Amino acid sequence: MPIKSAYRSARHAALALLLVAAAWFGGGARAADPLGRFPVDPAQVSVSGISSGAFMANQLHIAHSAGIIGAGIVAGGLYGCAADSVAEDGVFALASLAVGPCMSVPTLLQPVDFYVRLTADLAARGWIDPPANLARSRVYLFTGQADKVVSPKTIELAASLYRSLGVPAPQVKFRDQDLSGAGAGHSWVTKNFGNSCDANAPPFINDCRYDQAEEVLQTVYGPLQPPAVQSAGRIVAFDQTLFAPGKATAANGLLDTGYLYVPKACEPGAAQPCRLHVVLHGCLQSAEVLRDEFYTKIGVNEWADTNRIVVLYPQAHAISVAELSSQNFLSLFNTNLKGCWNWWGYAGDKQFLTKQGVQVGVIWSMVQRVTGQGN
Amino acid sequence: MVDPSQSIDGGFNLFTDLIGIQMRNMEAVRQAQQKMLEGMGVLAKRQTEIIEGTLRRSVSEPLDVTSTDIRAVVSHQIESLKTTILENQANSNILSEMAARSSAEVANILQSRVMAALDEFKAALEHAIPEKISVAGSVAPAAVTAQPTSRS
Repeated sequence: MPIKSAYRSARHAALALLLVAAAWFGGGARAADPLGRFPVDPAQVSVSGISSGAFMANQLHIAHSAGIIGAGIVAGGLYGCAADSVAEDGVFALASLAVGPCMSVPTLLQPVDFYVRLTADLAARGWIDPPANLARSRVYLFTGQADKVVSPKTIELAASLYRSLGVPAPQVKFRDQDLSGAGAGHSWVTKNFGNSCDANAPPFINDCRYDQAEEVLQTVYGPLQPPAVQSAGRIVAFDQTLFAPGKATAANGLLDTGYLYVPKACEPGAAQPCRLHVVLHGCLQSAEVLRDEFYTKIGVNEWADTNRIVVLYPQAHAISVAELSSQNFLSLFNTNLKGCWNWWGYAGDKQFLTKQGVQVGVIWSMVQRVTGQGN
Repeated sequence: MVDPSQSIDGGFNLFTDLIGIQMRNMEAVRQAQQKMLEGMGVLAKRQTEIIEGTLRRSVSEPLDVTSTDIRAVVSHQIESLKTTILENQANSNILSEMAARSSAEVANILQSRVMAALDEFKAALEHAIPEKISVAGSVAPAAVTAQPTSRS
């Protein structure tokens, strides 16, 4: 029938238009530009993160202690927390150690000596930089007293590990009380954006009248200029596939696109070199869930603007069984359903704690690209 | 007619191929057994650590029986019980994951070998039996396939 046929054609045309529009505006499918080089001093690189991002920031810092001068660890982080043992091919880690002792049953955490020995073992194998480099680091660690996701004891132990690895006590700033953010739930804490202070819910950004970005950056870099009222730099979307082994971003828990914040004073051709700060989101906080909320609203860019800091926001990706590079009886153990950074060895990565780890390697390659040290 | 020497050669090749397949099967079973033993060893070690940890915590836990505040004592006991329940659950999850991973590794080794053995067996058969021999052992009448299929 002609009417039916015309109706079918119109429906197909509308569907095609919708598909084109989805591909255009969807973000995930749109190819971003390669990450460029910026005038950054390679000796001024630091990292911070929240929750799984804090664990990854901690891993990146300890694995690359020769190249990273400080870290901000928020509501997460204890190097090797999910590790059971070390073998010739890498670290044997368990998801059940991550969700059990590391997050909710801290009485089962090992004594700090266990993590010191683990770190020494990995360094002796040449898999991480010598921990002696950490002595010059400045570290900020934070846990909210209302955190119901990652136990404050885990972060206390992370602080203790830093001291045991040779970071002088005055350079380890552990914050859990005597500040307006002390009562925070599991979150990156801000001065004026996000959930109520004691919330433990998405987007895991809480308004506690406490500027965590300020304290992280001041701990690492020393006194700073006051922040910009409104960020005036630009957000650059860049292609993360160029850094993943075989361009396999999804199978390794990475999104195709990452983001970089570039203050005007750090554009190519700037007279003075800038600093580079890497910020790692937590689970359920990547751009595929929060879009631009994390990399524009946590208060870091405003401080970066006035203090010559380029900010790198790599992005993780939630992996289902179907996205793994190979299917076998271990597939279920290799998924990452909440888009967390790899701190328990998912995707079959036994080197996740070390410089050979896929995600640690990818983020470090991005750092080298921005600073002009890599390809 | 089929050359009998070819059949003997083919049969001998098939026999040696089958021996090779069987040797590799045995090697896979040995690897699987080794993985299973390693898994059991890791599991046993973890169980020992769990018992040691439980004993260590129970010894280090101050038992305040002298307190006169009955509510504080009961509250403390309840918190201890809750902690113990959570610890048991976490330990159970850890042991389950270790056992499941170990079983999965064994299953992966065996399944990979079974798949490979099937491919090898297929290749050995193709190698041993000439292409033009039918199931009954006679040369396939090639001309038959070229005959007209209908009278029209």
